[in-house]
Amino acid sequence: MRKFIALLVVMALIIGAMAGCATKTSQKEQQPSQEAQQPTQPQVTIKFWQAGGDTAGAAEKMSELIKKFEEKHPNIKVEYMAIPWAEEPHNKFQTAIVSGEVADLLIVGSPFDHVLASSGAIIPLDQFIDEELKKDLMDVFSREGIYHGKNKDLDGKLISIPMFGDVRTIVYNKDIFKKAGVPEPTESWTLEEFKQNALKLTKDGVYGFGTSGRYASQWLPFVWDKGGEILNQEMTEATITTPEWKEAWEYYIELINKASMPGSVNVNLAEIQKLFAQEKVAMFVTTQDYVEELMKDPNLKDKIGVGQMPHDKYQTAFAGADVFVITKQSKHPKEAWELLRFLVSTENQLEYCKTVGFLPAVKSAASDPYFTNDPVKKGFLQALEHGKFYVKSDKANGITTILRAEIQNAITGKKSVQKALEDAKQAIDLLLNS
Amino acid sequence: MKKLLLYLILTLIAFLMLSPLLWMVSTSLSKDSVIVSTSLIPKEFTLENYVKAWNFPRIFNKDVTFGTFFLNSIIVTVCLVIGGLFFDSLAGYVLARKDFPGRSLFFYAALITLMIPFYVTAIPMFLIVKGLGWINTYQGLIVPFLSSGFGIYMFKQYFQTIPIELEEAAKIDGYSDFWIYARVIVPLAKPAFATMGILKFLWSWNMFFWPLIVTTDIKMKVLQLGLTMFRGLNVTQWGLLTAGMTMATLPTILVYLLFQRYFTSGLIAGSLKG
Amino acid sequence: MIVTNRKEKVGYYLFLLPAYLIFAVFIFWPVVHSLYLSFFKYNIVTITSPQFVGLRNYLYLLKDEVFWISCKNTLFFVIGTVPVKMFLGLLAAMLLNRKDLKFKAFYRTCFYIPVVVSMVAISIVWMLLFNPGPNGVVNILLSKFGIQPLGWIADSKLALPTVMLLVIWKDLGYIMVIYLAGLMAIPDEIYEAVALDPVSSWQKFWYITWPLLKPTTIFILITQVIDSFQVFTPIYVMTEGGPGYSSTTIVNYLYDKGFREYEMGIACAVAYLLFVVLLVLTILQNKLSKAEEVSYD
Repeated sequence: MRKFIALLVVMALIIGAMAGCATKTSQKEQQPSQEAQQPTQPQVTIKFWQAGGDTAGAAEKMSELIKKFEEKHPNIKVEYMAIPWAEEPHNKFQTAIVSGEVADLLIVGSPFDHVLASSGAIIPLDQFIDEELKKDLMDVFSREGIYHGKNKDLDGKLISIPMFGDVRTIVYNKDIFKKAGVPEPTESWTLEEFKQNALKLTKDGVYGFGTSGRYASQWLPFVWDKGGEILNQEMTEATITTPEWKEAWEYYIELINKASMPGSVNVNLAEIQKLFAQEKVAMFVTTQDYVEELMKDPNLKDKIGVGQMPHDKYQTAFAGADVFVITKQSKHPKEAWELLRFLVSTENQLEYCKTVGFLPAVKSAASDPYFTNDPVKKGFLQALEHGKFYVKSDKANGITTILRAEIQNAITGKKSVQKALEDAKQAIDLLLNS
Repeated sequence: MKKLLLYLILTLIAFLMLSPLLWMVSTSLSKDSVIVSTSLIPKEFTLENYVKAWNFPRIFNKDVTFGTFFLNSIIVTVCLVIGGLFFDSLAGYVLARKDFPGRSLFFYAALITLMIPFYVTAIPMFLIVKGLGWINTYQGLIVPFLSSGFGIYMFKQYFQTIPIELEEAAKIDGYSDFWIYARVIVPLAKPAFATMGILKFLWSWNMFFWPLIVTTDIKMKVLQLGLTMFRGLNVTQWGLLTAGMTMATLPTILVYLLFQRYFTSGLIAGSLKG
Repeated sequence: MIVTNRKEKVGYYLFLLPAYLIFAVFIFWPVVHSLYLSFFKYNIVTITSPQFVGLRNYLYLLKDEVFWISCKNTLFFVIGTVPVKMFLGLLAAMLLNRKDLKFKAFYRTCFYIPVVVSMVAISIVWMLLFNPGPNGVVNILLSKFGIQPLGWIADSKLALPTVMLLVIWKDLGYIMVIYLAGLMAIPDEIYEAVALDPVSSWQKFWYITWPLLKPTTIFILITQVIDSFQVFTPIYVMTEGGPGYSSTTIVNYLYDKGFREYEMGIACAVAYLLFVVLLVLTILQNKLSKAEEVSYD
């Protein structure tokens, strides 16, 4: 008998533990639905998730804009959530899609929109877009937002519209240039001039060009300059064993070995930024939001210059955008579009970009004096005109890993450039056809 | 002389063991976080980083501070420690003391759980938790880890060192197995409970990957996830990060200091005597 | 063993029920499900339902050079950390077990503190300390002694050893404490018995202490080998597997495949191979300990 009671206690404890937790959630889940029932008008609740939004004040500003939107559209209620980059929001969206719980409207980092398009998780935006926005959208974005790939339903369709864009270009310290007697970058400097300057600037504990072999964004523009591409048009095969690639990698490896600090082969980007802030790096490639941070330093403020990427053949700059997509699972795509359209209006674009320090998606906002009167912002906007996005394959992450490893092998001299490229091609091809 | 050398060596090792952490604390208390100092004493002392770090989550949600993450970590950890000790010791007890069909099968099953990389089970596990509607809930964070093969193994080993005569006496008096477990075994195994308690505490407090995938709501985040907020895509705020890390580390050190006297004695028999 | 009837035996299972119910739902079923998935092409991005591909995922691994590099690196990591950790841990325990030593608790606490810190946090600290650039704290300190700065996490030969240094540093205290417990469990009488004989302390260690510590050693060896084969977090935080693939380990490879490339089928296949290796190793170690007449069970 005693034993029986004891066992009952055990079981009761287990059940209690689980039930106790369970009731807590059910209460939680009920709360929003009660709120939703109050208004008399038919209410629509849309979910809106943003990947990132971790720049200072960004999520707050977004919430503010959403509030304005809700006031304008009393029948639409928005549940907004920002997921910091460090938590790998794309993975979260992916799992949410698999489990059928994804939000109506997402902001994702490009080229993840193209990955989602390949799996048919999002819908085309051509059906919603108005002429005004079509014309107003910056050229780079209307170019890069068109899907081409294996999902034939979306081929040639516009799948995403940015909330904001970013671009990486040369940022330099005018002071160091002056002291070394090196002319400041011009808009049309060549790769050779760039290299010579970087080498000349490297002395007395200063490094001419701080860069890192960990990020494709650091070296891809040199490949693009020569017309090199990672994949063929059909995205079935790597096209990296060309002379252009070899030449570009050799060029970059010389730069990294001779003009960058020790350990550049696998250094964290934050470290280069820190060195630049310490005035130990003369030039580096970075995004505008970091420059905005640097400008807060009174010592650096007047020394910072923004230049264009050096180029011989094709001028490019590594660009990206945080783009809106509307999910296929959404039951309220129209309302999701309403919110999207509201957020890319000139006024809201300006307001948001002023807070986060990124570049706007529409020309009408970009032509505002706020951007045109500021040499830093102007420099970045100019670079964005030549912006080019990273490879839009659904295997982009795998390709990144392979290219990173192989360029690092080439930088450390573990492999010859030719061999590294061949091995990378073999690995990418295997990946693409797996 | 020889003795002095020993103290010198031990003190040097102790310093080497602590210096990275001292450096972390020092950086968190320093004013300028852009330039990394090699000194273990902050040059310009400030608590600014702590205040900023504490309020940092408000960027995402006005009602959330670092305190929210603390509370979540505490809830998850307390449930995992208490529930885990109970479940593991129950199983450990019968595996140590009783003979029944499938006993070694159960024992090896517990050992096998130690050999399975978490990443093997992560996706199906996520799907189960999702199916139960436990995403963004405490039970989603807690229930899957309420029992551990390591705990069962440790308790079994420890219980085997307790003289069986006590139990036999209770048994003859007609007490049930659960009574014996609760009134005889548990009081005698306090060191084992303290040891496993500390280990479970550390493990729960420091877990990272699982909370990362089962919580999306900022209100449900635990401390270790909170730390990731300071590492933006382009800008890392080292001062805030080290302040946050110091805050997240302090409780683990405190708990260890408070319970350490049980700790060693618990390990004596727990893991060792077969 | 106490005589029991059948009804009581049913009760035993109820003791096991809570723990094993959780194992069943959250470990064993997922493991079976993963095995099943390892025979499928299951990319959670590009396809909605898994397609059966037989052994293709396993064949892919055989062909993928990176997988082999990650196996080699993992093996290097295990061999380079486990014995070192165990040797240093034992040494620390021997030093701190001396009867005539003062401040024992203080030293023990200092040695143990790295164990309680989260791996994520400490990896970030380590990354800053072993930064190869001009800001690297360790390099700055070395240069004060006139030593040339080293490449640490940026050097393909040093990246993995730097991570190993972190792991040794972090786990040393844990192993020390377990050895200390083992040492304290050895009755003083055993040493007293030989106190009058002219034996060196080395002989005392080799013929008395070491054999008596065998169960401890085996326990540590088995759990540490299992743990070390699954190393992930410090590498994920510090090097992301680079430079090249020089610090990519099996679980890093698995993570890349599963959670960056979304190839769940391949990731499950990797996990299974790792699982089988660990299972075999544990059984071997267990057999070894049994053969030496020290029961592990």
